[in-house]
Amino acid sequence: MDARFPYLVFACVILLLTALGVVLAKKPVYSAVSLLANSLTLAVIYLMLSAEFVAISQLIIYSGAIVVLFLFVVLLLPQGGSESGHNRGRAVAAVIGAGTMFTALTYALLRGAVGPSSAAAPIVAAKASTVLDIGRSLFGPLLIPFELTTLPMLIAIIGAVTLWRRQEKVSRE
Amino acid sequence: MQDLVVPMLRTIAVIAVLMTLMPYMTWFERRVLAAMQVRHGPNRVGWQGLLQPLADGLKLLFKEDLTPSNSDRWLYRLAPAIALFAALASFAVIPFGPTVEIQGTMVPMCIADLDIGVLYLLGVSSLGVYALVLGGWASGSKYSLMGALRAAAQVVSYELILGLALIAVVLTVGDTKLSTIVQQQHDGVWLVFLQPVAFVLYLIAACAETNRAPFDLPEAETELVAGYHTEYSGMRFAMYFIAEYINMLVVSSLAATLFLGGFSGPFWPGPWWLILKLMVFMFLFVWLRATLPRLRYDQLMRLSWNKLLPIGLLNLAVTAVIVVYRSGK
Amino acid sequence: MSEYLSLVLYLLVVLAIPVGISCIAGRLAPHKPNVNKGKPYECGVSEPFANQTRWPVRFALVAMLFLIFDVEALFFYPWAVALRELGVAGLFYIASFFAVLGTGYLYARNRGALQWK
Repeated sequence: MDARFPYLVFACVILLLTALGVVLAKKPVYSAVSLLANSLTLAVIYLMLSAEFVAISQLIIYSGAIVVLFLFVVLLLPQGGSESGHNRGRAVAAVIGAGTMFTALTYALLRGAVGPSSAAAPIVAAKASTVLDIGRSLFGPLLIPFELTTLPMLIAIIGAVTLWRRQEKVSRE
Repeated sequence: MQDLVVPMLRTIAVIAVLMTLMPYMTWFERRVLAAMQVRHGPNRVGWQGLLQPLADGLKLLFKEDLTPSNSDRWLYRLAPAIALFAALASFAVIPFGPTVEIQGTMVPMCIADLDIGVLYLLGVSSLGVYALVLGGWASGSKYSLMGALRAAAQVVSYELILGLALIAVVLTVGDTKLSTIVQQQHDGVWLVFLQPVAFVLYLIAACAETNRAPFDLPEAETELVAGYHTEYSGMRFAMYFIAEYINMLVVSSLAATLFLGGFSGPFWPGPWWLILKLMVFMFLFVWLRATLPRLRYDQLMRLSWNKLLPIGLLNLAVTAVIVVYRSGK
Repeated sequence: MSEYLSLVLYLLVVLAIPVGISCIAGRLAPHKPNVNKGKPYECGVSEPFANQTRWPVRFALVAMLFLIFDVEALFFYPWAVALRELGVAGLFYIASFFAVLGTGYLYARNRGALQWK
């Protein structure tokens, strides 16, 4: 067994706890802070798995931009926002969705469809993948998916601008 | 255990140097600013006022630690700690000397010379924004919140510009490892000559990232009292203050590393060259503060999104074409 | 991996500094709270202020646009490192990636999202 395995398990426990924190926190601001801790832990886990670039992307994009966006929205609300009562249907939908996802992933892992197929495969890759390796695969075999990522981003820009313009119109009236 | 001795000593040395330089930067800033404005500046405590930073530190230590009654207690305490942690942590990848041999072991003069050094800096420094936003919100004061929102919008806008300047450097060198970037400049020419546009973009973005004049809107004292740290006092205020100066040291040493050949130079050992070069940038920061009036908020945002962003992208395109042309593929 | 060991050690020591300062904050200082000290800072007029004000949505728009351009910028790094190998083809790859996002930028600009007043 790899010497880093216990640390990995420990990090996963923290990951689970912070994830619970996001869901269970009373104030949305605490949820956002918990999400930050969660994303940082995930970056550490990627690093332990020798995925340097993925770890740093997690840090830059999720910790540095997405959680900032969430925090902005939460802070722009009065009193840091408050949950508008408990919504039964939403909770049930979340449990069903998360449960299905969990079952599917567990099944796939057990069947060996995802991740290391043989039990002997080392948890940690022998050599860390460099930025150059990422570049080679991104602009080699993964070129088409890479080019396609621009579309969701374009839609996101248009969506954000449209929503903002609607809001501006409302506040001007 | 043997493996831990060298990193531990290196860590202590780096923190000792940073924590010694930081207070003297405040002294340096006040004296230079005073000289530029035909004043004397602090010159009473110790010879030429050299003990002034110590006196200031002690004063803050004995100041009451106030927590506003409608603040969010936990986040109010967490925020300044994040500021200081992010500032100190980002120094880890900056090389301050060539690898030296001490009693048969090769000791790299860098905390961690990561392959993704440039990206590490970008990632860790982006955590600093939480200190501003959470601190400003948790204070429960409108000046703080307004300052925090401005600060966050400013910092994220200029982070893009900073990123574009860094990508231009990575493109020219072909590596994200900082020691390689220094080595290439040592063997060839300083990148300030190859990437003048990126250098200027970096300097502007660095000023804005550290909330220094003329980009000091988050703490524009004439309209927002002190911005996001209005309610802070004593040592918690000191943490924001230390973080600001450590951040200045980090962006200055990164500027020296990326554009002025870092630690490389004749005669003296590496660390001295790095300190000398970063002092050039520290002087520049003070000079800018003494010279330029503060920008208006709309000017600031327009500068980043409408002017610097297209310039940065254009610079990247031109650099890319030259790189491909010279590689001959 | 020794690089990361050194980094972790450094980060632990660095973490100890703000934690240490937080622990001594106010310990050596007088502590005499009163109602007026606890009030948020106000310029002259002291009225209690709750964060009830509504703030411009534009701040959230900036965060959203930043997020998108940040993702885009991150993709540039592997490209910048690999460009020497990719040659002219690398220029075309990134040009088509960039054309779509440039459209987005111009759209936002024309719709006044970047017009600050």
